[in-house]
Amino acid sequence: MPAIALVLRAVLGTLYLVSGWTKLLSAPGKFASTIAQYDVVSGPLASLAAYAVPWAEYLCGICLILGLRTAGALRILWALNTAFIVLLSQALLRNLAIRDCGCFGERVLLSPEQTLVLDLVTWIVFLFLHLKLPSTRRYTLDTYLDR
Amino acid sequence: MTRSSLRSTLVTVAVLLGAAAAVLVARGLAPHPAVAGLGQSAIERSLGDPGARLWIVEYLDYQCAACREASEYLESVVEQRPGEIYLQVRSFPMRAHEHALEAAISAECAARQKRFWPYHRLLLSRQEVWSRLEKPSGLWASYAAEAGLRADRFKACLEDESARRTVLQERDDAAALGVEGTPTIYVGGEPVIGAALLPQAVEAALDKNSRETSS
Repeated sequence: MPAIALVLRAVLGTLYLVSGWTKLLSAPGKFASTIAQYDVVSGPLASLAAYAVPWAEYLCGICLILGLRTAGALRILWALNTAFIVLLSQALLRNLAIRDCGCFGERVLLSPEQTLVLDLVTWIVFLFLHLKLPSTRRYTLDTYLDR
Repeated sequence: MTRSSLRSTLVTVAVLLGAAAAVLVARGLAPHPAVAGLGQSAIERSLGDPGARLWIVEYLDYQCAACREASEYLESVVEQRPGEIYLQVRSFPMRAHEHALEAAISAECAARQKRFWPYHRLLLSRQEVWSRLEKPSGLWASYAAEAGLRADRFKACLEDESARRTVLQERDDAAALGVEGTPTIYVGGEPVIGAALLPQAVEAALDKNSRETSS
Protein backbone atom coordinates (compact mmCIF):
# COMPACT_ATOMS: atom_id res chain seq x y z
CA MET A 1 0.00 0.00 0.00
CA PRO A 2 2.73 2.59 0.76
CA ALA A 3 4.17 2.04 -2.72
CA ILE A 4 0.78 2.74 -4.34
CA ALA A 5 0.37 5.81 -2.16
CA LEU A 6 3.85 6.98 -3.19
CA VAL A 7 3.01 6.68 -6.90
CA LEU A 8 -0.36 8.42 -6.50
CA ARG A 9 1.23 11.16 -4.43
CA ALA A 10 3.90 11.73 -7.09
CA VAL A 11 1.32 11.79 -9.90
CA LEU A 12 -0.95 14.24 -8.06
CA GLY A 13 1.98 16.38 -7.01
CA THR A 14 3.29 16.56 -10.58
CA LEU A 15 -0.18 17.40 -11.90
CA TYR A 16 -0.51 20.36 -9.55
CA LEU A 17 3.11 21.44 -9.93
CA VAL A 18 2.70 21.64 -13.72
CA SER A 19 -0.68 23.31 -13.39
CA GLY A 20 0.67 25.97 -11.02
CA TRP A 21 3.90 26.49 -12.97
CA THR A 22 2.15 27.10 -16.30
CA LYS A 23 -0.20 29.61 -14.70
CA LEU A 24 2.63 31.39 -12.91
CA LEU A 25 4.49 31.81 -16.19
CA SER A 26 1.50 32.75 -18.29
CA ALA A 27 0.33 36.28 -19.07
CA PRO A 28 -0.73 38.33 -16.06
CA GLY A 29 -4.48 38.63 -15.99
CA LYS A 30 -4.96 35.49 -18.09
CA PHE A 31 -5.95 33.30 -15.13
CA ALA A 32 -8.04 36.13 -13.64
CA SER A 33 -10.07 36.28 -16.86
CA THR A 34 -10.40 32.49 -16.79
CA ILE A 35 -11.79 32.72 -13.26
CA ALA A 36 -14.19 35.44 -14.39
CA GLN A 37 -15.64 33.00 -16.96
CA TYR A 38 -17.09 30.97 -14.08
CA ASP A 39 -19.14 33.97 -12.99
CA VAL A 40 -18.81 33.31 -9.27
CA VAL A 41 -16.16 35.70 -8.03
CA SER A 42 -15.13 39.03 -9.47
CA GLY A 43 -13.11 42.12 -8.63
CA PRO A 44 -10.49 41.92 -5.86
CA LEU A 45 -11.53 38.41 -4.85
CA ALA A 46 -10.94 37.13 -8.39
CA SER A 47 -7.57 38.91 -8.46
CA LEU A 48 -6.63 37.40 -5.11
CA ALA A 49 -7.64 33.92 -6.30
CA ALA A 50 -5.75 34.43 -9.57
CA TYR A 51 -2.65 35.27 -7.55
CA ALA A 52 -2.94 32.71 -4.76
CA VAL A 53 -4.20 29.60 -6.55
CA PRO A 54 -1.22 29.10 -8.90
CA TRP A 55 1.26 29.55 -6.05
CA ALA A 56 -0.71 27.16 -3.83
CA GLU A 57 -0.85 24.56 -6.61
CA TYR A 58 2.83 24.89 -7.42
CA LEU A 59 4.20 24.90 -3.87
CA CYS A 60 1.83 22.24 -2.53
CA GLY A 61 2.56 20.12 -5.61
CA ILE A 62 6.27 20.20 -4.78
CA CYS A 63 5.54 19.42 -1.12
CA LEU A 64 3.38 16.47 -2.15
CA ILE A 65 6.05 15.05 -4.44
CA LEU A 66 8.75 15.39 -1.80
CA GLY A 67 6.49 14.32 1.04
CA LEU A 68 7.13 17.53 2.90
CA ARG A 69 4.27 18.71 5.14
CA THR A 70 2.41 15.96 3.31
CA ALA A 71 -0.86 16.09 5.22
CA GLY A 72 -1.13 19.89 4.95
CA ALA A 73 -0.28 19.95 1.24
CA LEU A 74 -2.76 17.13 0.63
CA ARG A 75 -5.57 19.00 2.41
CA ILE A 76 -4.91 22.31 0.65
CA LEU A 77 -4.87 20.67 -2.79
CA TRP A 78 -7.94 18.59 -1.95
CA ALA A 79 -9.78 21.76 -0.92
CA LEU A 80 -8.75 23.42 -4.20
CA ASN A 81 -9.81 20.36 -6.14
CA THR A 82 -13.20 20.39 -4.42
CA ALA A 83 -13.60 24.09 -5.18
CA PHE A 84 -12.78 23.43 -8.86
CA ILE A 85 -15.43 20.70 -8.98
CA VAL A 86 -18.04 23.04 -7.48
CA LEU A 87 -17.07 25.86 -9.87
CA LEU A 88 -17.15 23.62 -12.91
CA SER A 89 -20.41 21.91 -11.96
CA GLN A 90 -22.25 25.20 -11.47
CA ALA A 91 -20.82 26.47 -14.78
CA LEU A 92 -22.04 23.35 -16.59
CA LEU A 93 -25.45 23.50 -14.90
CA ARG A 94 -25.81 27.18 -15.83
CA ASN A 95 -24.60 26.40 -19.34
CA LEU A 96 -21.88 29.04 -19.13
CA ALA A 97 -19.63 29.29 -22.14
CA ILE A 98 -16.32 28.10 -20.71
CA ARG A 99 -13.82 28.13 -23.53
CA ASP A 100 -10.84 26.96 -21.52
CA CYS A 101 -10.82 25.42 -18.08
CA GLY A 102 -7.66 27.36 -17.21
CA CYS A 103 -6.12 24.25 -15.67
CA PHE A 104 -2.79 24.06 -17.47
CA GLY A 105 -2.36 27.47 -19.02
CA GLU A 106 -2.54 27.57 -22.81
CA ARG A 107 -0.57 24.40 -23.46
CA VAL A 108 -3.31 21.89 -22.71
CA LEU A 109 -6.86 22.91 -23.41
CA LEU A 110 -9.52 20.73 -21.81
CA SER A 111 -13.26 21.01 -22.25
CA PRO A 112 -15.31 21.59 -19.06
CA GLU A 113 -16.61 18.01 -19.24
CA GLN A 114 -13.10 16.53 -19.56
CA THR A 115 -11.93 18.73 -16.72
CA LEU A 116 -14.79 17.65 -14.49
CA VAL A 117 -13.99 13.97 -15.08
CA LEU A 118 -10.32 14.62 -14.33
CA ASP A 119 -11.21 16.53 -11.17
CA LEU A 120 -13.59 13.82 -9.96
CA VAL A 121 -10.95 11.12 -10.49
CA THR A 122 -8.45 13.33 -8.69
CA TRP A 123 -10.92 13.85 -5.85
CA ILE A 124 -11.17 10.08 -5.37
CA VAL A 125 -7.37 9.81 -5.31
CA PHE A 126 -7.24 12.55 -2.67
CA LEU A 127 -9.83 10.67 -0.62
CA PHE A 128 -7.80 7.47 -0.89
CA LEU A 129 -4.57 9.19 0.14
CA HIS A 130 -6.33 10.90 3.02
CA LEU A 131 -7.91 7.69 4.30
CA LYS A 132 -4.56 5.94 4.01
CA LEU A 133 -2.58 8.78 5.54
CA PRO A 134 -0.15 6.54 7.44
CA SER A 135 0.71 4.80 4.13
CA THR A 136 0.82 8.14 2.32
CA ARG A 137 3.34 9.41 4.86
CA ARG A 138 5.52 6.33 4.63
CA TYR A 139 8.06 7.28 1.95
CA THR A 140 8.24 10.98 2.62
CA LEU A 141 10.72 13.60 3.71
CA ASP A 142 8.45 14.12 6.74
CA THR A 143 9.22 10.61 7.97
CA TYR A 144 12.92 11.16 7.48
CA LEU A 145 12.90 14.55 9.21
CA ASP A 146 10.78 13.30 12.14
CA ARG A 147 13.37 10.71 13.08
CA MET B 1 10.42 23.49 19.52
CA THR B 2 11.99 20.06 19.23
CA ARG B 3 15.04 19.44 17.12
CA SER B 4 13.13 17.45 14.51
CA SER B 5 10.39 20.07 14.13
CA LEU B 6 13.02 22.81 13.77
CA ARG B 7 14.77 20.75 11.11
CA SER B 8 11.47 20.15 9.35
CA THR B 9 10.61 23.86 9.41
CA LEU B 10 14.00 24.83 8.03
CA VAL B 11 13.76 22.28 5.21
CA THR B 12 10.23 23.43 4.37
CA VAL B 13 11.28 27.09 4.25
CA ALA B 14 14.33 26.25 2.13
CA VAL B 15 12.28 24.17 -0.34
CA LEU B 16 9.55 26.81 -0.66
CA LEU B 17 12.06 29.63 -1.11
CA GLY B 18 13.96 27.58 -3.71
CA ALA B 19 10.74 26.83 -5.56
CA ALA B 20 9.67 30.48 -5.51
CA ALA B 21 13.14 31.54 -6.72
CA ALA B 22 12.84 29.07 -9.62
CA VAL B 23 9.62 30.79 -10.74
CA LEU B 24 11.18 34.24 -10.48
CA VAL B 25 14.26 33.14 -12.44
CA ALA B 26 12.09 31.48 -15.11
CA ARG B 27 10.00 34.66 -15.39
CA GLY B 28 13.15 36.73 -15.74
CA LEU B 29 14.66 34.50 -18.42
CA ALA B 30 11.54 34.08 -20.49
CA PRO B 31 10.26 36.85 -22.74
CA HIS B 32 7.22 38.54 -21.30
CA PRO B 33 4.64 35.74 -21.08
CA ALA B 34 2.14 37.72 -23.07
CA VAL B 35 4.45 37.86 -26.07
CA ALA B 36 6.21 34.53 -25.64
CA GLY B 37 4.49 33.01 -28.64
CA LEU B 38 5.21 35.90 -30.98
CA GLY B 39 8.14 36.19 -33.32
CA GLN B 40 10.80 38.86 -32.78
CA SER B 41 9.52 40.88 -35.71
CA ALA B 42 6.00 41.02 -34.24
CA ILE B 43 7.44 42.17 -30.92
CA GLU B 44 9.40 44.90 -32.71
CA ARG B 45 6.16 46.07 -34.30
CA SER B 46 4.59 46.57 -30.89
CA LEU B 47 4.32 49.46 -28.49
CA GLY B 48 3.39 49.65 -24.83
CA ASP B 49 3.44 47.20 -21.99
CA PRO B 50 2.75 43.55 -22.94
CA GLY B 51 1.25 43.16 -19.48
CA ALA B 52 -1.36 45.83 -20.21
CA ARG B 53 -4.96 44.74 -19.91
CA LEU B 54 -5.94 46.10 -23.30
CA TRP B 55 -4.35 44.58 -26.37
CA ILE B 56 -4.91 46.31 -29.66
CA VAL B 57 -3.93 44.66 -32.91
CA GLU B 58 -4.02 46.86 -35.96
CA TYR B 59 -4.10 45.34 -39.44
CA LEU B 60 -2.96 47.99 -41.87
CA ASP B 61 -2.11 48.66 -45.43
CA TYR B 62 0.49 51.38 -45.97
CA GLN B 63 -1.36 52.75 -48.94
CA CYS B 64 -4.61 53.26 -47.10
CA ALA B 65 -5.31 56.80 -45.86
CA ALA B 66 -7.61 55.66 -43.04
CA CYS B 67 -4.80 53.40 -41.79
CA ARG B 68 -2.59 56.45 -41.39
CA GLU B 69 -5.28 58.16 -39.36
CA ALA B 70 -5.89 55.08 -37.23
CA SER B 71 -2.17 54.53 -36.65
CA GLU B 72 -1.58 58.11 -35.57
CA TYR B 73 -4.46 57.93 -33.13
CA LEU B 74 -3.33 54.56 -31.72
CA GLU B 75 0.25 55.69 -31.19
CA SER B 76 -0.94 58.80 -29.40
CA VAL B 77 -3.35 56.93 -27.13
CA VAL B 78 -0.65 54.39 -26.16
CA GLU B 79 1.57 57.32 -25.23
CA GLN B 80 -1.18 59.07 -23.27
CA ARG B 81 -2.22 55.95 -21.33
CA PRO B 82 1.09 54.33 -20.31
CA GLY B 83 0.80 50.79 -19.01
CA GLU B 84 -2.81 50.44 -20.12
CA ILE B 85 -2.45 49.45 -23.77
CA TYR B 86 -0.30 47.08 -25.77
CA LEU B 87 -0.41 47.87 -29.47
CA GLN B 88 0.73 45.61 -32.23
CA VAL B 89 0.87 46.47 -35.92
CA ARG B 90 0.35 43.69 -38.46
CA SER B 91 0.43 43.87 -42.21
CA PHE B 92 -2.56 43.36 -44.41
CA PRO B 93 -1.47 44.73 -47.79
CA MET B 94 -4.53 44.86 -49.99
CA ARG B 95 -4.21 43.42 -53.47
CA ALA B 96 -5.96 46.49 -54.87
CA HIS B 97 -3.08 48.72 -53.73
CA GLU B 98 -0.20 48.07 -56.04
CA HIS B 99 2.61 49.28 -53.75
CA ALA B 100 1.20 48.11 -50.43
CA LEU B 101 2.94 44.74 -50.42
CA GLU B 102 6.36 46.20 -51.18
CA ALA B 103 5.86 48.86 -48.52
CA ALA B 104 4.89 46.22 -45.95
CA ILE B 105 7.98 44.18 -46.84
CA SER B 106 10.20 47.22 -46.36
CA ALA B 107 8.58 47.85 -42.96
CA GLU B 108 9.23 44.22 -42.05
CA CYS B 109 12.90 44.76 -42.96
CA ALA B 110 12.96 47.80 -40.68
CA ALA B 111 11.50 45.67 -37.87
CA ARG B 112 14.31 43.17 -38.36
CA GLN B 113 16.79 45.96 -37.64
CA LYS B 114 14.74 47.03 -34.60
CA ARG B 115 13.87 50.32 -36.29
CA PHE B 116 10.29 49.59 -37.20
CA TRP B 117 8.60 52.58 -35.56
CA PRO B 118 10.61 55.43 -37.12
CA TYR B 119 10.37 53.76 -40.52
CA HIS B 120 6.65 53.01 -40.11
CA ARG B 121 5.99 56.66 -39.23
CA LEU B 122 7.90 57.81 -42.31
CA LEU B 123 5.98 55.47 -44.59
CA LEU B 124 2.69 56.73 -43.22
CA SER B 125 3.51 60.41 -43.07
CA ARG B 126 4.83 60.38 -46.64
CA GLN B 127 2.15 58.09 -47.95
CA GLU B 128 0.87 60.65 -50.40
CA VAL B 129 4.36 61.09 -51.87
CA TRP B 130 5.38 57.51 -52.54
CA SER B 131 2.00 56.00 -53.26
CA ARG B 132 1.60 58.22 -56.34
CA LEU B 133 4.87 57.10 -57.89
CA GLU B 134 5.08 54.38 -60.46
CA LYS B 135 8.07 52.79 -58.74
CA PRO B 136 8.21 54.02 -55.15
CA SER B 137 10.67 51.35 -54.05
CA GLY B 138 13.51 53.75 -54.88
CA LEU B 139 12.41 55.86 -51.94
CA TRP B 140 12.58 53.04 -49.40
CA ALA B 141 16.36 53.34 -49.14
CA SER B 142 16.21 57.03 -48.35
CA TYR B 143 13.49 56.49 -45.74
CA ALA B 144 15.56 53.67 -44.29
CA ALA B 145 18.59 55.95 -43.99
CA GLU B 146 16.44 58.59 -42.35
CA ALA B 147 15.08 56.03 -39.91
CA GLY B 148 18.61 54.99 -38.96
CA LEU B 149 18.71 51.64 -40.73
CA ARG B 150 21.87 50.09 -42.06
CA ALA B 151 21.66 50.38 -45.84
CA ASP B 152 23.43 47.11 -46.69
CA ARG B 153 21.30 45.01 -44.38
CA PHE B 154 18.13 46.74 -45.53
CA LYS B 155 18.94 46.10 -49.18
CA ALA B 156 19.78 42.46 -48.48
CA CYS B 157 16.52 42.05 -46.59
CA LEU B 158 14.45 43.51 -49.43
CA GLU B 159 16.04 41.02 -51.80
CA ASP B 160 15.57 38.15 -49.41
CA GLU B 161 12.40 36.08 -49.75
CA SER B 162 11.94 35.61 -46.02
CA ALA B 163 10.60 39.13 -45.33
CA ARG B 164 8.10 38.70 -48.17
CA ARG B 165 7.05 35.32 -46.78
CA THR B 166 6.49 36.82 -43.33
CA VAL B 167 4.25 39.56 -44.72
CA LEU B 168 2.28 37.19 -46.94
CA GLN B 169 1.85 34.75 -44.06
CA GLU B 170 0.57 37.55 -41.87
CA ARG B 171 -1.89 38.57 -44.57
CA ASP B 172 -3.09 34.98 -44.98
CA ASP B 173 -3.48 34.60 -41.21
CA ALA B 174 -5.46 37.82 -41.05
CA ALA B 175 -7.71 36.70 -43.90
CA ALA B 176 -8.32 33.42 -42.09
CA LEU B 177 -9.28 35.46 -39.03
CA GLY B 178 -11.88 37.28 -41.10
CA VAL B 179 -10.04 40.49 -41.93
CA GLU B 180 -11.28 41.79 -45.28
CA GLY B 181 -10.22 45.41 -45.38
CA THR B 182 -8.07 47.97 -43.68
CA PRO B 183 -7.75 49.30 -41.17
CA THR B 184 -9.20 46.48 -39.12
CA ILE B 185 -8.33 46.95 -35.49
CA TYR B 186 -8.96 44.40 -32.79
CA VAL B 187 -9.55 46.31 -29.59
CA GLY B 188 -9.41 43.79 -26.77
CA GLY B 189 -10.43 41.12 -29.27
CA GLU B 190 -13.37 43.07 -30.70
CA PRO B 191 -12.99 44.09 -34.34
CA VAL B 192 -13.36 47.74 -35.30
CA ILE B 193 -13.37 48.50 -38.99
CA GLY B 194 -12.18 51.91 -40.11
CA ALA B 195 -10.68 54.81 -38.22
CA ALA B 196 -13.85 56.76 -37.46
CA LEU B 197 -15.19 54.57 -34.66
CA LEU B 198 -11.79 53.73 -33.24
CA PRO B 199 -11.44 56.40 -30.51
CA GLN B 200 -14.87 55.54 -29.19
CA ALA B 201 -14.08 51.80 -29.11
CA VAL B 202 -10.72 52.32 -27.41
CA GLU B 203 -12.18 54.66 -24.78
CA ALA B 204 -15.01 52.20 -24.09
CA ALA B 205 -12.53 49.33 -23.66
CA LEU B 206 -10.31 51.40 -21.37
CA ASP B 207 -13.32 52.48 -19.28
CA LYS B 208 -14.50 48.88 -19.02
CA ASN B 209 -11.06 47.80 -17.84
CA SER B 210 -10.82 50.55 -15.25
CA ARG B 211 -14.34 49.75 -13.96
CA GLU B 212 -13.39 46.08 -13.62
CA THR B 213 -10.18 47.00 -11.82
CA SER B 214 -11.93 49.31 -9.36
CA SER B 215 -14.97 47.06 -8.69
